[in-house]
Amino acid sequence: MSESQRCRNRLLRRSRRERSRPDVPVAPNASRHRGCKEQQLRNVRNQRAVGGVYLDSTEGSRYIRMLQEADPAASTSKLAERAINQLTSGRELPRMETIDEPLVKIVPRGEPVSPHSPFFARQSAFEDAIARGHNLSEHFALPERSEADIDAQLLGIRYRCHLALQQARIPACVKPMQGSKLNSLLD
Amino acid sequence: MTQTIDPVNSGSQRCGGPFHDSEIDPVRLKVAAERLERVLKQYPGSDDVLGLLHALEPLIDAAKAMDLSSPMGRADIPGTYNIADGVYRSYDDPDVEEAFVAFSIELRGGLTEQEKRLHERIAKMQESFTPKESS
Repeated sequence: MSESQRCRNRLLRRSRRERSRPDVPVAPNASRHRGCKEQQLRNVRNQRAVGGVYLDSTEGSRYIRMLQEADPAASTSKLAERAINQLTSGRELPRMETIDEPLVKIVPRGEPVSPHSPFFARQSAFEDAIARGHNLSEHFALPERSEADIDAQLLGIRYRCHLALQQARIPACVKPMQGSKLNSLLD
Repeated sequence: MTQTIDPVNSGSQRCGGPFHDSEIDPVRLKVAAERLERVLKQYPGSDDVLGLLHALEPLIDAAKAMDLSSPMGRADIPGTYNIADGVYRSYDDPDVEEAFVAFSIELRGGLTEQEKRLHERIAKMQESFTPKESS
């Protein structure tokens, strides 16, 4: 093993250790890469390809437009990265859907919801995951930071709108509030 | 006042080769790392930003030492989820997200051709974009 490989492996190990700290932000599905450069390159390309195909579609163009409308002053780089990061961080690709139930945001206990967050779950999906005893972090692809002490906040507005539209416009149309029913499920 | 760096067009030229889209340019990465570190240190009172700085420190140090040669996956870069979650959106002067994005791009080995096309599309959309009036 070359010195540069050893260095990189050391950094990755250190970086992974940092991720287990409660105060450190981390991306989901973070430990896929195993030090092999070819495997890393394959994973990097696959990850990019998934988001890229969607963003090239009509739905993708609409998604980008909504990101842009949500933050007209954002630079090109930021909008592009937001689009790709949001696509590759979620469990599923966005889809247009009419909903009529509250959405739930799962955050570390005591922490506020980012007013710009695009990541939410349906209340029914959340309750189902609890009832089935799923590991919430794995089930919802949460960062490890949320794992130790999870809280759920209910978005208190019932509305009918497109999920993707809402993802882009959370700051404008939804105010988070504490959800007593959901929190009691976690106690 | 922070220096503005175009992550796509500034700095040294990238190496060629069959996988040129996934090759780290150590000079550009170093510049991006130094800028990101400088920006993050402008928020000593923020636990969110300090947490990000702490998580990225090993990578920033290695980038500054020009010690990284293999690109990382997007999801392997600490802070990516929180950036996507909008956690740092309010830290915009100097702009944490902008500096992170530039660093992340270099750490991943630069923009792919597909990403470059996406940037071009977004730039065109931005040129023709007229914000809707809020009611």
